[in-house]
Amino acid sequence: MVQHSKQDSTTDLATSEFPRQLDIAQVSIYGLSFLSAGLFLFLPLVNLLHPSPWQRWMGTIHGMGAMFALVVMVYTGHLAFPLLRGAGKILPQMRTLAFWSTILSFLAIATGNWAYMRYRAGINFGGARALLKENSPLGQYVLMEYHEFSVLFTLPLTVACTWILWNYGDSILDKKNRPVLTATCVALMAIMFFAMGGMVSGIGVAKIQAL
Amino acid sequence: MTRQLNRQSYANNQPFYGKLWSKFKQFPSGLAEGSETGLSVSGPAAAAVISATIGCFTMMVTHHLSDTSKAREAFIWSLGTWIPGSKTDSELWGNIGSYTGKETMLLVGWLISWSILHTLWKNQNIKSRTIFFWMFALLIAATAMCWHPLFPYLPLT
Repeated sequence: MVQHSKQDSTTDLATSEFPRQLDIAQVSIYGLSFLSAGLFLFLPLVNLLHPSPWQRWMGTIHGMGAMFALVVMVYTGHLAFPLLRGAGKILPQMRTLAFWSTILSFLAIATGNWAYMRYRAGINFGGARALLKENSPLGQYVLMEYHEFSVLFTLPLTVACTWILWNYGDSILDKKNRPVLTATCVALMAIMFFAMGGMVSGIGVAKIQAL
Repeated sequence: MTRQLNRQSYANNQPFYGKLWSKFKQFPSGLAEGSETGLSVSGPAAAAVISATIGCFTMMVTHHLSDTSKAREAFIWSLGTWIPGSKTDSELWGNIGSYTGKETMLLVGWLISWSILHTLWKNQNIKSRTIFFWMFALLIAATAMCWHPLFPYLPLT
């Protein structure tokens, strides 16, 4: 909804024919937000332009799966902060978001397993792992070792959060359940952390050596 | 009996896209409502969260055991052969390898510890210090164990 500033507003520097400053600011923020989100979501599709056919289809599919998981987990992780402060009106969506985080975590891991097969192909067949160990061992050690394992942490944590948020119902906001609420919100924040780390390390590895 | 929060006023006075977004956020609705009879002790939640971190830690211990002995790696790999792609004959396609055994150990450590801890703690209140100590300790240890200090100098795999 567009906000209307007052006639005597100090931020309105022009006459009434000109759109109000607050309206321009609001439209600009929405426009930039949609553009930024659209460009960010477009990122996995860049794989479609890659010269390697493996990267074109495996990279795109795993990239899409990981991107969806990241977006939902980060959205859920951000909402863990108001939930921790007792914002009861977001509880229903926290339950569904934790559930969808679980589903997307599984899909991201499943597509990752699939891409990992080709990643481990022999060096004579252009296997990325073998080439990384040959040409960029530190990249393989720092980025891929972290990527392989930390992203798996999201699955048990999302299942645990979904289970707790459903089973405790609205009583999770009661004073006696404060440790439960805190542990759940911290777990949701940890999921966000591992999802972001997984995306950054995954893109980093793909940037050094494609499939 | 859980406290039912008043969400009706929140749903009203929204444009159509706001209502659509609200419906989308609360799908599936059966899950969004939550349990009618919420749990009143912290034991089940503690079991759920701590067992998740036990699963992560178990996987990382398995990773270390696997990467420091070829014989152990072969055994751990055999645990994960149920996962599609674990073993293939194609050098072009590759295979997932002993990573599947490590994933399997995550599932084993997580689900077995959850069933044990849930049975032990389902009617108990667990100290918050206990919940947070084990949650943080296991998760931080599991994260740090992604980088074994000797692996670059022990090229066993």
